[in-house]
Amino acid sequence: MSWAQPSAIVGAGESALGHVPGRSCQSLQAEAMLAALANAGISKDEVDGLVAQPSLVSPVIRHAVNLAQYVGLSSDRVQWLQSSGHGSVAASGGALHEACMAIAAGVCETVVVVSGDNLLSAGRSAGISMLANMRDGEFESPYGTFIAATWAMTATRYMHDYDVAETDLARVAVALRERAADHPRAQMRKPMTVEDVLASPVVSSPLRRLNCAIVSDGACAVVVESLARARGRRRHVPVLSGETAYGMPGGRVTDDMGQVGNPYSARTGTRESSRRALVAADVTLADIDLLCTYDPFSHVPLLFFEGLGYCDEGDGGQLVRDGFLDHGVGATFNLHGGLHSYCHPGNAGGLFMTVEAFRQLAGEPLGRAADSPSLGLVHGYGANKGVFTTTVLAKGAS
Amino acid sequence: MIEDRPPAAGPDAAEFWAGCDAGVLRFQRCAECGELNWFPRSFCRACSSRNLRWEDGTGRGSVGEATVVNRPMNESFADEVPYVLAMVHLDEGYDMLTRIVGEGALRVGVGDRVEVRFVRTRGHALPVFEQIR
Repeated sequence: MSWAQPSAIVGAGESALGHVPGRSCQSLQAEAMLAALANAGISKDEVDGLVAQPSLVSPVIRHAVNLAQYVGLSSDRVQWLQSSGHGSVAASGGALHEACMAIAAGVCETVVVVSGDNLLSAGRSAGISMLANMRDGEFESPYGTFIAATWAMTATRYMHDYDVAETDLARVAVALRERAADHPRAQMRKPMTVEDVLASPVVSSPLRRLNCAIVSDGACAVVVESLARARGRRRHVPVLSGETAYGMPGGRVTDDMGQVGNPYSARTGTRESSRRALVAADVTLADIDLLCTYDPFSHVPLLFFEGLGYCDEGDGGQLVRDGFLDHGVGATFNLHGGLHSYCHPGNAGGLFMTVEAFRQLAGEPLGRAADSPSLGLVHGYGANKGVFTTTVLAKGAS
Repeated sequence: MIEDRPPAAGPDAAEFWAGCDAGVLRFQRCAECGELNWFPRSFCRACSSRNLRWEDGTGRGSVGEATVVNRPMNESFADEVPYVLAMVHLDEGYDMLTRIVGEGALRVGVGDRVEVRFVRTRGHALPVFEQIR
């Protein structure tokens, strides 16, 4: 939807990223919040809303209230503290939309959206097991499933049905590493080749280790305000629209369990949420000149490119072989390096895309710069393969 | 091992798990509108009727998606690698997440025909699938 009372992002910030031992989820999220507020030139005493994504490592239901007291937000000022759950948030796009909704409803004027965790330092036994244990205990967990495996199953089918090769997946991973190598804050900056990807061990066939998102510590945050208020800030990046698709058109709401019967929910869900978001923003895909999509595994962006409409169904591999990632809007894809190489502490992987898009559209990139982008599209998913969210952002203004 | 992780059987699926223990793969169909419902539930997903009837399935289907897991993210599966996860499309028209076991499982491909087997666990029997000709 586009909101009757529109919003804009006025600042973004991050904690220390990568391997950051000795820090809690709250500590990392607080650092990112304060950095985003400083970036916006706003005091924490002005914050009247908070959307915070709970830790996967040590989840607390009342996370947002905990974080607000940890940071010391003003009890006189705050109107709304929202713990934004994992499954429905569609890679943090939904968390941004919640902030826009609170502003459109007139409940809040200055909302911080924050996500992050100490997923790497908590160790495999804590954080990653937590991700595995989020599966349904009756019909999923007994089989030993986890996120990489469910997406690997999709990759098997995708590569069976279409002309998509392991080298195409490797090209995606390499392109993201090249971007990260130019970004001073990226966790994985060492150059890497297609051969390196193909030589990395198979995690869950056909996905190799270097086809998978990294594991990180870190947090990021954005500050969202009503457009009217945002115009008085250092700069603002308008949020033109945000749409979420909760299943197939004409069908019923799905989650990762309910999506069965459609191996290509990533494509159909993307098609629906992006179509609606572009209509709501009154723009077309051809107008988009900055592209960020969730990239948890190397084939997922290809399905997203197909769903967005950059090529026909099944032509994602050919699209990459034709140099999509090197020219035009494709060259602006995840300029921070994405989940593959920038930072991925769990839930927050998606919000880092929004931070990157904000920086690019505000003309303040830290790494590779897009060429004066005017319209950004940020796309991700939640509930594993069930919920897809697209956001359209405009060029920053001061 | 898989035997040590019994499914957390819930009340909606009591008939399903009883079927597994008896060697039958069951699913629900709405007696009012005919909608096939999977996973088990108390209300029809189409018409909201509570009149869901259990039917015995053939237990046969085709592999829709599959992966060989070499590096599980959860240590409790570490002693089982490599193992094969799959989405099986049952002949009755629904899909379920499961494992492929038995001879040739590591080479299973999209479209391969499979049939249900039931693995004993410390709780209810768990449906897995094996390739058939």
